[in-house]
Amino acid sequence: MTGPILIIAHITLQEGVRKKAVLGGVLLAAAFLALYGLGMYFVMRDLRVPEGFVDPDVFRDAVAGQLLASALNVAGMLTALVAIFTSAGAIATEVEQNTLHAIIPKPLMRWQVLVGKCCGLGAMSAAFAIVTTLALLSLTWIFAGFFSWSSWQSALLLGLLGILLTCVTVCASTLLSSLTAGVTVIMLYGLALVGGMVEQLGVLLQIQVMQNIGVISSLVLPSDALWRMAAQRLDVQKFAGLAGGPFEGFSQPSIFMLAWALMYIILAVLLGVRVFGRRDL
Amino acid sequence: MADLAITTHQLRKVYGDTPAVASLDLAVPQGEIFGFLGPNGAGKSTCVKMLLGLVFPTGGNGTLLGAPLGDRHVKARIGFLPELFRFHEWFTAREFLNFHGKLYGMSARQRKERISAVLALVNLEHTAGQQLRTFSKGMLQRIGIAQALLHDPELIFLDEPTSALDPIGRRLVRDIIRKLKAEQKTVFLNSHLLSEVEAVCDRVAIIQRGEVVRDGTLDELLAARRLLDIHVESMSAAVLERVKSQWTVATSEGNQFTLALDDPADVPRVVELLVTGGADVHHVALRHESLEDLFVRTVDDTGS
Ligand SMILES: Nc1ncnc2c1ncn2[C@@H]1O[C@H](COP(=O)(O)OP(=O)(O)O)[C@@H](O)[C@H]1O
Ligand SMILES: [Mg+2]
Repeated sequence: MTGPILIIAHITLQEGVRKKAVLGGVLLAAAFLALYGLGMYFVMRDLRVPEGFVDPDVFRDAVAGQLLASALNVAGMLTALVAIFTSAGAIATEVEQNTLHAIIPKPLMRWQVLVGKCCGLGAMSAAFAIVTTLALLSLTWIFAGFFSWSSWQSALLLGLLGILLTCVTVCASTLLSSLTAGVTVIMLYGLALVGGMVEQLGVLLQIQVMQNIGVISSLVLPSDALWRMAAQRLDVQKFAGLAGGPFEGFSQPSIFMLAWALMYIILAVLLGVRVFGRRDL
Repeated sequence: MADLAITTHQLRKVYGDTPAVASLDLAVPQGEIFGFLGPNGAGKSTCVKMLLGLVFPTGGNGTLLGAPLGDRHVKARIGFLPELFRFHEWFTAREFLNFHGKLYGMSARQRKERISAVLALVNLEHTAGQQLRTFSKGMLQRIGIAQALLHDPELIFLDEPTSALDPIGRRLVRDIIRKLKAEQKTVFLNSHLLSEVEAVCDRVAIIQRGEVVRDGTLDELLAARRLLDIHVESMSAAVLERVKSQWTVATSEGNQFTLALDDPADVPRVVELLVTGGADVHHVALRHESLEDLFVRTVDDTGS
């Protein structure tokens, strides 16, 4: 039963390498990390601790933490882009190009093709997210000496974000053309992002309606919720009051959102299997 | 009666409001080469896609090798060359076959052995390491045939296997089909290249608008009618009228026309009528109907 899934996952990865999607991802990550490393190095070199500040080390950690949180925000967006762009054609392109005509009549089931695609593409996006995040953490440690033991969880949560968006996009791709599928998921992602901001503001201003909007948008797509959990695991909130900045994390998604994200992945795959299982090719 | 490799019972597919396949009843015996003919858009490919699980029938059912459609174990015994194939172009020919071998569930050793065998069969050994994107259409069609035969299937569907091939490639495919027949495989051949079908098929079905309008063994279908090709000069209209009143004119073009005879014994009477009517007879030849004649006649009769 897992045989065909692994075969499909394998050629999906192979295709990623051959079509240079993987190379593109590596270059993207390398450019981003180089910029971050350079930025962190110069900030730390030229940082002046304000007069009257009691502990200069705490101030340095606070600045580094804010930079790291900003970078993690960008890493989340890059992960989303990688996941969505690599998966938008997963089924749609194969249908348009009739490549499935030679595959579906083989002794395998349609759901195995879809799950295999999700595994291969999900592995790519998750690897991108995890490696990028771990590299960010390393650079922060090297140049700023800032480190938190819970931050490995940030890497995993961002990896989960990649898998979530991959599975949602593959699901959309069973029904829509590649372009439409990609645009649809980007719009959902943007909606969740804005919803998350509204929620933060709602907490700050203590307006319940705004907080509810955030929760609802996280139910629609828990991508921003995952990112915020990842940011929390960086352990930079304690400095929020010191350095200020947009990532102060007033409210943290409950563990329920993590469960919802996992369930969301399963539901997206099931829906994709159902649609793809009934489609004429 | 031999076992049936393929049966369909009132198989039907409707896209929107228009039926692509109206109601199809087929019975293909095992070990035969079956020609599935029909004009463009008659529903040939749709029918094959329904049999192979690519398209879901609106109604009816069928069996392959005795099992209902979609049986996974039977799928391992079937080979298929799709019509509008595009394979993953970034594969080399050998990788491509290796991938499909894995999908068939073949072991590494079986794959190694069979890949070399089928590459030789379709004459592509020298390009085994080349990416498919560099292949011509004819080469792609041949690698597609190699893919369909890789696991030594019992039942092979070929949807327009020679559409992109040059005469040499066509001969190659014809030889492959004959070889399959010698190995007692069943081949379901979709085509509108009638001379090829005529050269290899045991049995044909002609379909139009998704319904079988004629079927049978090639021999019995072509033996049903005799054609008499005639070339005459200076024939009067009166003589022509008398010919027409007794026999059917199948085709006519200038001084040449072809009569359809139910009884070959009529030939002397035709000639006598022409000669006594004062026509100069240059050429008379009796022949069997060709598949093309039969096809055109069938499709004309039932069309419009
Ligand atoms: N996916 C589809 N959607 C709508 N109509 C289709 C589709 N596929 C085939 N058809 C129609 O069904 C008919 C039969 O097509 P097809 O089976 O490809 O014919 P053939 O292979 O005999 O040339 C054609 O009229 C075609 O336009
Ligand atoms: Mg066709």
